[in-house]
Amino acid sequence: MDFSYSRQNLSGKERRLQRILEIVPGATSWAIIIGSAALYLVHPLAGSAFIIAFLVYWIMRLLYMNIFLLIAYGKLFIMRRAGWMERIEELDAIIQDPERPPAAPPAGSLRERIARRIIGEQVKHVLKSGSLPPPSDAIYHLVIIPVASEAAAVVEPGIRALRDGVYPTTRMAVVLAVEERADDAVRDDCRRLVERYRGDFMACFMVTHPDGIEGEAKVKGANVTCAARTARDYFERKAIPPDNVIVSCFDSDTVVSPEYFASLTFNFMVTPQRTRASYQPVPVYHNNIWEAHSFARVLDVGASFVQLIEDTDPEKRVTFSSHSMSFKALVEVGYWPVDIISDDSAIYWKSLIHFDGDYRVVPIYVTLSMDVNEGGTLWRTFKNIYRQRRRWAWGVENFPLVMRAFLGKNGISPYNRFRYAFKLFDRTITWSSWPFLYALISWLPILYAPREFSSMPVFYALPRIRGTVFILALTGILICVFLSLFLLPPKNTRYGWLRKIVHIPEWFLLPPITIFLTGLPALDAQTRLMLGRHMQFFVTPKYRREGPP
Amino acid sequence: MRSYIELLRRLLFHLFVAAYIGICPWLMLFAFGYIYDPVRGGLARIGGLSISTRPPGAIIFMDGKRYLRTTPAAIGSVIAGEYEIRLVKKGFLPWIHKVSIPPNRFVSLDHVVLLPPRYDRRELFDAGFSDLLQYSDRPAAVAFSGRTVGNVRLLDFERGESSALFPRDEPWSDYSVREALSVYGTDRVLFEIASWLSTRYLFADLTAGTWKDITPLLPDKPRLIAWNRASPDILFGLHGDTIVKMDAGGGAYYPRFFPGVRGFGLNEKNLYILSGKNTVLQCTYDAMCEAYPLPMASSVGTVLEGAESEFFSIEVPTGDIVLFAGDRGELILNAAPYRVGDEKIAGTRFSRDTGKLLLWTRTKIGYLDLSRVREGPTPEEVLPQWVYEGGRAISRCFWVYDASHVLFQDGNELELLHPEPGGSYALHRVAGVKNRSRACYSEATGKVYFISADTGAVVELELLR
Repeated sequence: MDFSYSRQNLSGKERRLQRILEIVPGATSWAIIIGSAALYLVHPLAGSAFIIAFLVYWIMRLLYMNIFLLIAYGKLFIMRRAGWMERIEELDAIIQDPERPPAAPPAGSLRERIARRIIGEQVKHVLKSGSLPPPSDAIYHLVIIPVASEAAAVVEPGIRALRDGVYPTTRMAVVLAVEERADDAVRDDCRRLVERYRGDFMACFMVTHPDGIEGEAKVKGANVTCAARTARDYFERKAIPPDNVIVSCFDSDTVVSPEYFASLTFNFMVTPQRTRASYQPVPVYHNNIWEAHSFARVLDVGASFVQLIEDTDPEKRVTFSSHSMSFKALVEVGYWPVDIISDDSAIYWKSLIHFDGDYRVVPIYVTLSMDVNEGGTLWRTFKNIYRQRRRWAWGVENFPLVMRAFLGKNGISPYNRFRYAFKLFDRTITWSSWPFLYALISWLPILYAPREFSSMPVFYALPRIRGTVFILALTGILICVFLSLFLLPPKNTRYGWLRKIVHIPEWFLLPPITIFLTGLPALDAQTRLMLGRHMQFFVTPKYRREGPP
Repeated sequence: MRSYIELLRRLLFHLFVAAYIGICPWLMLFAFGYIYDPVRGGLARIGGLSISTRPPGAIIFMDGKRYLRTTPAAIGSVIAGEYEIRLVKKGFLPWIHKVSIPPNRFVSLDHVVLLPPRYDRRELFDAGFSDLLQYSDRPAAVAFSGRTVGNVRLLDFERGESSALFPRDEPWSDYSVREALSVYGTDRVLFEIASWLSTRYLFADLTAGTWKDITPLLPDKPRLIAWNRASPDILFGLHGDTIVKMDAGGGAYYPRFFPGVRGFGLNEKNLYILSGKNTVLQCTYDAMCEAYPLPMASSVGTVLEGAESEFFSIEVPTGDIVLFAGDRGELILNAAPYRVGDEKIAGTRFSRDTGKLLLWTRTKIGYLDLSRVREGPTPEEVLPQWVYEGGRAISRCFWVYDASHVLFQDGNELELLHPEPGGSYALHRVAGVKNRSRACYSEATGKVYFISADTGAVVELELLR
């Protein structure tokens, strides 16, 4: 479908529709929060019924999500033993000779055997689909690392991890996408990095994104688009078709796990219609996890969990943060939106609309690590996180664009359009209103009961229901606590298990965190969109505290 | 291809939706007072019961079946109906009552006092005292062991200490105490002492243990005198129709502070004056006055004009409720129907926490719920709820246990009125008090102090445990 994924240059009618759709999420969130409080105050019985229905819904959804968190974590745990390079070699052999006898039954530990079994199913599926994968030596990787103000100390560990991974770097091009407005020192740092690592990759070069190009906003999407266009020329010169190129757009602090590109390549190969897909790894925030403030750590581990849960739901998967996709698809959709802040989710929606719904996100059970948001002091960290979360929540800007596309002519069936729209809307509203409903509104009957209401059983039943919900929610938190301990980086000499255990109580910071660093930034972002006060891209400062020697 | 996880997700999704559809309405019904009754095989309306007792820890029986928890407890999901509730605790009389639990209502038995078969007493001071005067909520009192000033003592019940309030070497040490007047909570007591030749006024500060002779400030005995907690050394008196102001600290005297009045009263900040024209003025202690707009009142002036009393003591328990207590026992309120009963009111005591005003005559005890008056009363609601009418010579009453019970002295008997389910009150004898002596009660400690009718000793009795 030919749709301009932008809020610029709209006709009068489209502009009005865009504006109305911009108002919808914020207005709905406010209506839910204020409406539920008002309903309780005006009609306590109806308000109580609403609160009970919400609490039951909330806890059931929480438990449901916890089940899938455990499943997703289990899969991540198992797939660590997949041996991706060996699997790629096996697949290459199958591609060369599809008639060769099947491999011997998998041996090794239970984890390895389960991993091999899952992989075997994927291979069977792709062979059955008729979409025979290209051999691995025909697949190339383009890695784009945008740099705006980050120092070499932040960027270099990521490049080093690319070099040190198990996947051959001879089929990997690394582009440092540097903003023209960046300080000279930053640009000089990038130049030095390019010089240092040029020989380690198929190519390593720097692309400077000119400032002030018409139609562009000061957003990451504009920078990486510029880099991708330059890379396209590079691959054309090398006669490498974009079909066999996978582009990975990383944050500057992204450090991939050694198996990342092997896993990505394998998953690309075994995915039928592989060029109509994005590949989403599990983001973890381990780079500076031991130096970060506790609430920042809890939030970012929580973000990893959300991604893990969503990886199990094909209908909810949207690209998030550092991820990879087919370069062919990227070129066909016209690269990343250049005037949208939330480029990570926008590219998914743009692709979905462009390919008339024939686009999906494939989860890859391998981690890449980024920095926990850290500002040095407690208050600065809090402010940075708030602004970062508001920027994430600004992904709500996709809602009016997606809805405009869905309301226009396109090849997506009405049912699927409704499904996508509902899921997007549900995710948006849930993010901004649930923390307030649970942490504030559901307390109302406990804090205030009108005289005629105070002697009714519901007044006594509600605290009991809430207490039960709280205990069940605590179970969810305990699951998170234990998984977070297993997900943490392996023990090293500096930080042992004792240090990990000390971090268990910090999970009980969740209630205030949920309000102030989840619900409030989301409501802030939606309110800004509702009022037409568009945000600017906030580059999260990367700061690392020195740990103990 | 659908992966196993996707299939499991779909299965779980449908299971959770089914569970939600099943659980939520059931929970909603339960919260709104319905439960499945397996005996009758259908839905039954439920109510609830909350019980708290002093002392806590009583075992609860409902229709003979023991409830798992002891008091305090909230028992939800009780099928509506009448139950016999029995509360049992060792060392106390069982509390047995029929309680009707209506559907969709929580019945609150929140102030049950378990009564002992006999109260434990502790003798604090030996015999020899004739009367006690309570001046604050602290466990202390002024005690009189004879008629003379030199025998006035200050008793500290907690420490068991007794000390002389006045020195014995003053020329007036052998004067007799004619009257002692305290304003509750101020720690000040005004003594009128007299010999056959002269009358003097001593103003004692019981916290500091000091006193002042303020006789020059009181050339005549006022018919009403008052001071308050905020400025305890500033006294106001009513002489004829004129308010006089006396500064006990500085010795200043203002003989015509405010003329032409029918009454006055004090609160923490202001002086309230009922003028001769039956309007109420709110004044500072420097006589800067303005008309006090009586909330809710439209014709209270007419009622005051027609009242028998010559002068009124004004009390402002809350900002919008004003009480006028007349010298002939009339009690008038600034809300319809203004006159609180036709009885001659002997005394009142206000509970700030509950908004309930306890009032009594020589034979009756009742209360007014002033919080309901504020909400917009009907005339019936302003009428006192008389809870006891069998008195002979009721002299003082105290709110007990958050204004749920009433302790009162009727002649020489101390009695406790305790509420019963259904709204009535039952009488329970507490102790006998020495003839013509006054009992004291401290809500802070839940203890009663009095001079025993049997032994004459000052006794402490724990009313609430």
